[in-house]
Amino acid sequence: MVAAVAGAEVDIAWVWDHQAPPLQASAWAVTVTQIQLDGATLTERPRTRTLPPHGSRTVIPVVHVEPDARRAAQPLTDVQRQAITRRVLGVATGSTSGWVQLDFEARPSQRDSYHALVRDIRAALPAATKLSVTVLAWQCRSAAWMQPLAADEVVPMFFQLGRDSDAWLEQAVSGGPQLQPRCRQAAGFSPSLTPPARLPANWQRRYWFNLQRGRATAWPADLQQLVWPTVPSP
Amino acid sequence: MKRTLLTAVMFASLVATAHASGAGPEDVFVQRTLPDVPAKAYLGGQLGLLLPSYPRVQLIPAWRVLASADAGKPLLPFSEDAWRRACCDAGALNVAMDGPATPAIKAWLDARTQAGQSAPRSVPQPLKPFGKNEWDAFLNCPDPAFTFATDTLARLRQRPDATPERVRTWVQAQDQVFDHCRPDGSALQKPAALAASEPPFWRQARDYQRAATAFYAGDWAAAKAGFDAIARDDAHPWQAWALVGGLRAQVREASLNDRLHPEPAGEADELLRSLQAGVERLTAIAARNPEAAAAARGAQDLLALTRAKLLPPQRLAELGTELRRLDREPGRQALADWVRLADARYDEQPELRRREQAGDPLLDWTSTLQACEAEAGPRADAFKHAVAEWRRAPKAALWLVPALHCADGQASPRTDIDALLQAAARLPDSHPATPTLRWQQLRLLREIGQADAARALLPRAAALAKPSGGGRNLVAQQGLALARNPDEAAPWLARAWSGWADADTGAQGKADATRYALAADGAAYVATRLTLSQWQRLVQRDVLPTPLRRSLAEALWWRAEFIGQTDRAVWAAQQIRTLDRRYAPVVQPYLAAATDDERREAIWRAGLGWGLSARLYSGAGVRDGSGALNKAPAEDAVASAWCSFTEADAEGTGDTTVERAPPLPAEDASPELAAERAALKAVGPATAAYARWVQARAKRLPAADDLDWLLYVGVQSTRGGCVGADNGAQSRALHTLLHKRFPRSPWAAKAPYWYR
Repeated sequence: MVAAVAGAEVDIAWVWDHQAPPLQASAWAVTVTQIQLDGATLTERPRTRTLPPHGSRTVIPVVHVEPDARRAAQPLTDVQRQAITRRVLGVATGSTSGWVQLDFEARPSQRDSYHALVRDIRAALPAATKLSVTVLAWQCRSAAWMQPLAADEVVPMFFQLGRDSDAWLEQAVSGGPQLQPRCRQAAGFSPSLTPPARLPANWQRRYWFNLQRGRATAWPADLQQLVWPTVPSP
Repeated sequence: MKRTLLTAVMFASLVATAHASGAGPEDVFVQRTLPDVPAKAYLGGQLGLLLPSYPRVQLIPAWRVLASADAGKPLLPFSEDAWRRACCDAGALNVAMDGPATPAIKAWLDARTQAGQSAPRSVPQPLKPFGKNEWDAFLNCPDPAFTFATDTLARLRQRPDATPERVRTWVQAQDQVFDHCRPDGSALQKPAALAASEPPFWRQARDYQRAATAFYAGDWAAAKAGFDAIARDDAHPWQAWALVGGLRAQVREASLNDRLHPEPAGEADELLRSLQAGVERLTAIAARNPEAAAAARGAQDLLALTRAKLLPPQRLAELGTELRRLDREPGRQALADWVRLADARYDEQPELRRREQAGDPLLDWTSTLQACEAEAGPRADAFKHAVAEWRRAPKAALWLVPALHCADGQASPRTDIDALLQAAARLPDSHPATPTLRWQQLRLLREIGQADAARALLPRAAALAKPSGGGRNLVAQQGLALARNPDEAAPWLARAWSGWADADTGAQGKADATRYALAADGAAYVATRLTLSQWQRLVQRDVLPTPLRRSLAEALWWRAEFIGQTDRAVWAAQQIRTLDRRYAPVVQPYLAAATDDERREAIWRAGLGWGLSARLYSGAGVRDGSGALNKAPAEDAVASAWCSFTEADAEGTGDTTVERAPPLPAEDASPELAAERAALKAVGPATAAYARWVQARAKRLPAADDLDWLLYVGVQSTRGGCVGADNGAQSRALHTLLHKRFPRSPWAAKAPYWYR
């Protein structure tokens, strides 16, 4: 087995809890746990679908945080911040990539506490472990969202963009000229919306999402082939 | 390697129902994957509107309801317990992060405290990580394990020989058992055997704890040996549970070592024989001792689970037969097991499903109905099949439901459609299929051009759909599509949010309070089909909820102001104030303004400071109608009050494809509407209109106190989003003006760039 160079991957498969990772990908970002905010408390649902052996691939563990859909989003409590931080630190110990990712679509009313959470995590992580955070594309237009964000990598998502989808996809294929500069190195894409060939080189790390609805767990072969045309060595 | 994990006790949590989180915007008005009527009502026959998007677990209870009604037999429904095991029981895998992980663990800790014991070394954790990087977890110690311990402690304390020391040492040993649920990295101690001087009962209790410790530690040989020794002792008080423990150890070992598969057949047969023998022995014990009945049921569940894993087609067929028997209530686990087996076997093998569905009536009916949402080809095939099945029993509703759902007014044979519509019309309103059929009749009648007949049917369809919020919204879509004028449209515009469902956990519920909003079709209708005078009349219609009328008045206000209909704009501002007093101070400057310039400034400031907007929010984008209004931070202000005046500016689910709405009524070709739409279009996006306004204002009032902030807002607004064709030029002009006129302003410092 040949170890991959940590952090050097360009095309990373983003793998939900219920999904099997695409075997042709050379790097996986894997949701290790899903944390549900529930009022002032929080519950966790660890990953239960076993990953196949990652072999030479590097793996970025992901902690997904889900806001409470039933209520107006409240700022994170200290207990919630501490619990999420602990979980990120815990999963980071198993990282084979040198990265760990926080996937949390914080609402505007949670902005300050979200920034504090990211600061907490960054401060607590070892210096050698890099922190990646996903953000909504529109947040990348806001200095107020981006400047205080203490992450090593910011990953705007270029899919499920609503009515302005065309304008956002144009940003994706033109390298994000209207985004805050730190939003122009890494991003999340769907191969069906923005095939790799359309993307400029400034996206140095590209997270690929399988957006198939429902219970499907496998990547469609054609989309997999589009992003990872060759199978990595075992 | 594909490995499936097995929990020893919680069968229902074997495979959690998972969906793609974040896989597309959700329809907030209709729960597409589960009914929004109470479970008891749904299982008992009040099906509401059956949707092809329902998964099998929701459709099988509906099959029983319809088949029973067609057969004229009393419904023997699934119990809520059986249904929850199948649909929604992922709870054991969801653990609290800020206290005891589950209620059963909390109850165990409380029982320890009540027994006078000090806190345990660590709080037990039910999920045990495994794998090289420990990214995966399995349910090692499910709730029944803690409940069993809690009950046992209560019983032990009642014994006459329960000295404080014996209770303390039993609890201490039980803590050591639970320490092995999720090792924390420290050296763990196993309970030692009790001294021979202790009474036999307490030594027997300790023996059971030792076997359980080995089980949770994954030491299968020791666990099996320990449980087997107890099981051989007819006088042992835990004999029955030890028998179950021994069987579980065999199954869990096979599961965690990736051997719980049909192949090789020899291994599978051996395991099944062993389990069968254990079940038979437990059944015999239970016949003598009723206290062993629970253990016997546990062993039967384990055998059923293992058969499902090792003999999936056979088990699926057995369960299907059980589910189809209308004269007997199915077992509590039958639905859950059938659904999981069917999902695992067919979800990713559609060809296999197509081959096998002819021999499985449940699979056939559910798959046909689900295909009604498929692309045109499969939908047409499903329609043909459903019609053929329906013609076998034309008085029955079971196949009429998929036949009508799959029918396409434009593409399906008209003779079939007419026959189906006649059959649906003959069915009495009391039949459980009728709400669905009336709704589909509406759709089909509209699609084949019989709009008057559809309109005549609307009140009945709406009344039948009423118990379901989502059903009411689906009928409302048809009502809006059939509207010939704004008066006919108005009753169908307000849609209540449906309940929520978490696709990952299966948790579901209803919003704290009813919230109404425009759906995407309603927002598009108002934005594109109404003149502003019609819009104004709509605001006055009390058939609409007050918060929605306020929202419509707000959107009207901006449009009227920007195309010079000042009287209407003032009226709209007054309505905003009347309909929601919280807005009174926000619109007051506008109402007090004496000139056009003052009014324009007031409306911009209401937008920048308080977020008042011209957008026709729909779906999840609608603003909450409660609580105090909060002023936006000055730094974050942008001119984003609208994107386009001539389209519905929806946020969240502003997408008629998500809501699967039918086409809007045809556009009215009135000159008034055309003229207004041309004028509104000429205004352009808010960003451009603001840039023009703030530059003109700077010329008119060069010494105004916060002009630097207004210019900063203009620059920030040109960063992106909805911008005009001359955005770059406007951005540069605003930036230049800001830095030239106010070089030392903090707002100039916050806007170092202009944007193309």
